[in-house]
Amino acid sequence: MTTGQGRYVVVGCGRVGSRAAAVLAAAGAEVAVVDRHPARAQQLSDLLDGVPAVVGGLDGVGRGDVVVLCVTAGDHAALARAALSHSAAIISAGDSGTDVARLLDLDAEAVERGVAVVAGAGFTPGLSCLLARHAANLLDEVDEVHVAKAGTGGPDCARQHHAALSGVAIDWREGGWVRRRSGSGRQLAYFAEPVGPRDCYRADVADTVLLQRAFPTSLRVTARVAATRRDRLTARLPMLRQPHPEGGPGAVRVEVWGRRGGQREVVVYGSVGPPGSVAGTVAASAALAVAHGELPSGVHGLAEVADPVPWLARLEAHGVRSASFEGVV
Amino acid sequence: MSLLRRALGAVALGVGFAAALRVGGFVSSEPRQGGWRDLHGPAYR
Repeated sequence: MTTGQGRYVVVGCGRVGSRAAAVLAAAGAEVAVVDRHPARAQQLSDLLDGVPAVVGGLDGVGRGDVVVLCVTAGDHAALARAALSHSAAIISAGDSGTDVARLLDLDAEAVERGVAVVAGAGFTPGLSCLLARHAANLLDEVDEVHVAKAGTGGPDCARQHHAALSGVAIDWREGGWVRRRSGSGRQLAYFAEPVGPRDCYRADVADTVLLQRAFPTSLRVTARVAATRRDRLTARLPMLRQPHPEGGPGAVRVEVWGRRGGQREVVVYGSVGPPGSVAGTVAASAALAVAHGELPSGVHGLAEVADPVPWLARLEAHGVRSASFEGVV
Repeated sequence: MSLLRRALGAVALGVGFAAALRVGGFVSSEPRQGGWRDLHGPAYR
């Protein structure tokens, strides 16, 4: 790989990476795909009319390149550190709390090198953060942000969902972090159709950290994922069967409470789509935005975007539509 | 008699466990009041 050619290097050729590479290639960008399995990278390269498939690490990337990480949970921080050492910008579509926390630790180095790093540029966090910012912009002040997610993307996403239900969830409550058991705190969430009402539970997901960072004066920030009784009973066991290749329709719902004109109000936004595909589209949009200098240097979540409207409009152009819930919350 | 009780108990346990693991889980049945409206294009504002 030639160094620093202003290209987009998509690492991981699963559901999310394939979609991100396809969106970037369709936008006329110069794309290279990387995977630890050469056959998978070659397959995606063939699908995208021969974008270069690169086997191995990120040694060839450099300043001006944007590295889009669509890899297994747990691999994001090490790859980000490697890319950052070459002064490349980084987009991480990971949703693991540990990955996001480690990415946030790279803030000082990213600022020093003058490059932007986006943590949580996927379905949730990612689209959830953009919707939360959009809702918050309608309010004078934000008191509470609650995110719920249903569905999973590819096999790695299903494994991460399984692991998230057995870890420790953290809620932001009255100015401090509260550790709670994952799988607790059942709440009914109405997602847009065809997903509809689903019981959601606390989980070890990254939304709370990124949203609290974006809304530091909020009193409560929580994140839940939809799960069945079987999911919760078996969460602490190894997965009983192979995860599905694609999880079908998923949904995100973001509820933001706050004040407007002295009155307490709530704004609820949501979206429905295949989580892997939506995550890839969000990651690609973030990569294009970073390449065009829309985000300053340092590590950011997408809830820190000042005006999410152009972002949501770009996502809509790629089939990711959002909706507003109107009724009794 | 004792053997029959044990067998029935085992069957009941099995049925209970299978029910607990059933696909789909349960969903609360509170009534829904409201609906979703598409939010796109100019409606973002």
